[in-house]
Amino acid sequence: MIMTNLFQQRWRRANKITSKYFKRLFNDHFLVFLVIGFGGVVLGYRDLLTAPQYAMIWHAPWLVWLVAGWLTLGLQFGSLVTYFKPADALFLMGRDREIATNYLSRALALSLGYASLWQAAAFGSILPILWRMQQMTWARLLVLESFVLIYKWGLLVLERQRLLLTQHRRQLSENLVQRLIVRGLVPMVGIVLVGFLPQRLLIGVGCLMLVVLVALTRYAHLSSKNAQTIAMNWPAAIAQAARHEQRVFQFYATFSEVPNQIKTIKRRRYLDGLMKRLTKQRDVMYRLYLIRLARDTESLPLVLRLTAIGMVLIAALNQAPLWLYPVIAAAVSYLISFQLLPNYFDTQRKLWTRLMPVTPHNRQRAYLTLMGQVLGIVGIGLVLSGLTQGWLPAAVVLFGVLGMRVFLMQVYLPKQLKK
Amino acid sequence: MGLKIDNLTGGYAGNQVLKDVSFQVDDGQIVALIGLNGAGKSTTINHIIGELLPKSGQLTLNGVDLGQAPAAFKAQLAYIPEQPILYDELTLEEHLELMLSAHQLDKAAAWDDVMRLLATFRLDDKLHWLPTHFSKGMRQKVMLVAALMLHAPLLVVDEPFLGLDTLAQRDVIQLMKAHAASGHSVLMTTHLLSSAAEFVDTFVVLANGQVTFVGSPKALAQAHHLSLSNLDDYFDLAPGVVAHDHD
Repeated sequence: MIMTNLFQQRWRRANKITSKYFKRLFNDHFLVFLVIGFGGVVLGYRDLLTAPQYAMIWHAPWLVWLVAGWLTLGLQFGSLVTYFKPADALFLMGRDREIATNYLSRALALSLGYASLWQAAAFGSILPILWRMQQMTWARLLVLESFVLIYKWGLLVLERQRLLLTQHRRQLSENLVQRLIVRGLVPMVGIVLVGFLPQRLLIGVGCLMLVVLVALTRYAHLSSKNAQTIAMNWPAAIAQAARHEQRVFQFYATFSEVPNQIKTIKRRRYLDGLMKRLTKQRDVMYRLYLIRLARDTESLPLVLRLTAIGMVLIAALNQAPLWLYPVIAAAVSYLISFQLLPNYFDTQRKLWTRLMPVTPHNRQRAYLTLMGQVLGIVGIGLVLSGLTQGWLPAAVVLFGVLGMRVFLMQVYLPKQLKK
Repeated sequence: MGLKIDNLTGGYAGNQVLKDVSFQVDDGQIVALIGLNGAGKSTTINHIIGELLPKSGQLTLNGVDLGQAPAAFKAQLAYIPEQPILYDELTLEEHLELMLSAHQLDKAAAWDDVMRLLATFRLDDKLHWLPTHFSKGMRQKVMLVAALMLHAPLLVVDEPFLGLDTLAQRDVIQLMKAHAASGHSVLMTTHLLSSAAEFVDTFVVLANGQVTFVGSPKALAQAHHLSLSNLDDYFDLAPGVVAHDHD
């Protein structure tokens, strides 16, 4: 009972944090992204569904693989939510049985709820495509979604098992190949099979899935008797919870500032030569900002992700109004500048930086130099993407990029850096 | 000229820790700031390195006023914090290059000396390591090298022996002595009075944010009828040194 309450307590606390971040998200940048990005995607999607030149796609045999790929991608979302903390290994030591039976059963139920929402979103987003596919019926759709949900349930149970040590099996680990098979290949093939299954076999397959669901649920339930031979694998449980927490923070950090987010570093030796060349005649602060950006596992991939999203959006818009191109380009430039701002403030917070005899003006100037270069590279990518639509879209993208650059470099960033 | 602190009153927002603290660290001197937890040692250090702004009072280093020219003041000091703080993204070599560059020192000219220091602390083969690969003691040694290589007029060391092995402790003492012998000054904090008494010129005792004693280790021992070897008993005997918890 205590463990159940503990989980409920942590869940409520997590909800409070989530609502705090959601308020931040919907207050500023996320709305900008939603309006522009989502609007662009909807326009592109509408084009795809209605434009006559795409009519052939709906009968293409590879479409089922694409759909399977999308649903398999959806399966990667919604992992086990346990809210374990590093201190649990010490303070909850010796309560393994109660944690396995009470705490983890709540965690598993909640995780299934969250995961189902993700699967529903993944499924719902391609429902118009599914419906246009050959052989698609309501029964097949139902079997397809049931397969995805049951498979996700299985993955969650497997994830729970990895947090336990049993007498028979010390630790259930998973290497990359196994991961690719279990999380990628098997569900993808399963979805394709359901997609191609003859109509008359659907009921049989549906019944079989029901049996699997019952067996899986029985296996997932840990009775007090079974739990006597179980111990918590605390290092695995804490690492899994930390990974999950970081993923959630990463999502918020895409659109809002997340304080105290743990940074991870990647050496990226292949960038050393380029960095040496770039920093040769530059001052110390520029060098510091550049190295930190290049080796941070959050910021650099974020810049690349946002640039890629912007490029894909611009390249995918076929019949969109002309004004949408510069707006997307400007929004991407703005989001990137906003996202990189915490790097500046984090660098200033470091004692090493504060002890360096460098004036605030020089610190800000070096950061602006770096941002100018980043925005330049992003802008080139966006303009090139605009070129795929023709000279006029490329020209308006250039206009959007340059306009936003002037605003960012002359007004927004200098004001933010002085805060 | 060295460091001069005149009537420093300050602390954290809403919590005034230091009251009229005055002392000085002359060129060629090693001065130890001593006191129990919460006496105000770290607060004093934070004021000296410019992390805290004084409510009143003046800090000057070789005639440069911290309030008026913070960058010029900081350019003259090297600081080794109690807890080693490094950039996770930078290798050992990059940390050192960065510090040299920030203090406008030429790498080519300083590098032989840097390598000698690295060899002293057995870090010379770890130039390309990232801080994640360093133990706590090794991180502290990186901080020591980064500070000592600057040959700054003032070396500020917060608890220099924390986390160091005995060989490194001995090396740190030698290097601090050498730093002072070259005409520079050293200000350190410590709880280990007996050990510090062997190489420190002056003790500045802080209690409840106020300076209660300034003098040589010998004078401190004599004032409390202690020998230098059992100077650690000082805190048991001295009245008024028991402090509040705000350090």
